[in-house]
Amino acid sequence: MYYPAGKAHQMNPEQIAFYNIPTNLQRLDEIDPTGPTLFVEVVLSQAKICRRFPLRSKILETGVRDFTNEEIAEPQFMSHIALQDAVQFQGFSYRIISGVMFTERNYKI
Amino acid sequence: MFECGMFKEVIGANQYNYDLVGSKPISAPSECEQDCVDTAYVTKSNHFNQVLYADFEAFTRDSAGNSIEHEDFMLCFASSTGYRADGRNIYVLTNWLESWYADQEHVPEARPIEVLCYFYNLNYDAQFIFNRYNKINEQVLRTNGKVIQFSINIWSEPNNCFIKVTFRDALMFFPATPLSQLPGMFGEANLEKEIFPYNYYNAERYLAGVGSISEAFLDCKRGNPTLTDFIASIEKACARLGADQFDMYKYCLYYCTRDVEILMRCMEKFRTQVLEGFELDINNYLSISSLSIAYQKKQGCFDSVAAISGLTRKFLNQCVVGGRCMQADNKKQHIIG
Repeated sequence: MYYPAGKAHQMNPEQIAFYNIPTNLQRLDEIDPTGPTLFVEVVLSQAKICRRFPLRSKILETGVRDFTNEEIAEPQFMSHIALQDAVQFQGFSYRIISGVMFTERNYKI
Repeated sequence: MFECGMFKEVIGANQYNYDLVGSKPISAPSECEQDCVDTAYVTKSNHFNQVLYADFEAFTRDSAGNSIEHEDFMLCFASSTGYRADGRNIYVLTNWLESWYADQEHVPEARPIEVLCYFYNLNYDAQFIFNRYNKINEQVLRTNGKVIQFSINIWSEPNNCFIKVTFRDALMFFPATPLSQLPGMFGEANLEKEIFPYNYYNAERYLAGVGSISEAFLDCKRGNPTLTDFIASIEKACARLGADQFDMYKYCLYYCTRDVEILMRCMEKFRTQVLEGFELDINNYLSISSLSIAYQKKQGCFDSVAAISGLTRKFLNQCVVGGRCMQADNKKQHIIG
C-alpha cells in the first residue's frame, strides 16, 4: 500500500502510447515497485469475460452507481491498478485518452 | 448588481470554480503541477497562555412548561491553573480575564495574550456568546454547519494589548460521545456526571430560588435515575433545604461546576496521554482528525506527497468509486441448502 508522491504531471502522447500497449501496462508494478502511478481517462471495449460482480460501473440518472457487464460508451476514469484488473480479469481492450501521472511513491503508511 | 457590471466571472487556467465546471467529466488538465502543494509536517508550539474549560446552563421552558428559545442563566469556568468562577453570562469570563491580566503577576511576555477556552459541544453554547457579545472575530470555523471554533478580542488597558480568547469544541476530539462517558474512558470513575432536571428550571422558579424535589425529579429523565439518587446528589451539593425542598441556584452551580471539572480533568488527562504517546499537543489541533493527520505527517507517511487542489483534484476525484454494495448479477438471490 502506498501514496502516489511527487508532483502530478499530465501524461504526454509518448507516455500514453507506451501505456496503451497492454504488456507495458501489466508490467507497471512488476518491473519497478517505485514506478509511476497513473490516473487515466480511458475508453473500454465490450467485456470479453462477463462477471457476476463486474469491475466497470456507470452512474445512472438516479445517482446510483451501477456495476455492469454492458458496454459503456462514455470514457471511464480509473487508476492504473483498476485498469490492470479490468484488462486481466474481464479481458477489456482499452484506449487511454488522457491521464495524470505521479512519478514517486511513499510506502511508509 | 450583475446587470450593472459590478461582478465578473473569474475563470482562468486552473482557476475554475467547481460550480462552474459542474458535474461534467473533465480530461486531465495541462497544468497539474500548479495544483500540487507540499504537505510537510510543521512543528507547532503551544502559543496559549492559559487554557479554560467552560459550560453554560440555560432555561429551556417557560413557567407554563412550553419550550422556549434557550436562555443562558449560568456560566461556570475553570482554568488549568486551578481557578474557578461562575456568573450569569459570557461577560463574567471576559471581565475575569481583564482583571486577571491586569495583575502584573499574571502578565505574560508574549503579545497578544492568547487564551484557549473549551466548551463541550460549542455549537450549542456558542449561541449564548453570539447573542450577548457583539464583537466576534470574523473567522467562525464550521464543520457540517456546526460551529467548532471562533474567537473574540478583549482590550486590556493596563497591558495596552488585546487578549485573544479562542473558543473551541472539545467534542471534536470525542465524536458522538456524551460528556457522561468521558470519566469512564479516562478511568475517572469518581467523576460521574450528576443528575439535572433541565426542564424544571425556568426563570420564575430560579428567581424564587426554592424548588420541589419531588416535582423536579419528574424531569430527571437522562440515565433513568431513582429519587434516592437525586436526593443523594442534592445532599452532595449541600442544597437540600427541607424534606421536599432544595436550593435551585446552589444545586445548579454544583451541577455546572461538576460538568466543567469532568471536562477539564478528562481533557487534561487526554492531553497528557497524547503528549506522552505522540509528542503532540492537543491544544494545537482542532479535532481528532487533524491530530491524526499531524501524527501521520510527523511519522513521514506523507513525505513528498502533495496536497492537490483545483482541476487536478477534480480529475482524480473522478477515479474514486467508493464502497460497493451489490448482489451477484444485481439480482435477488434465493439460495437453498
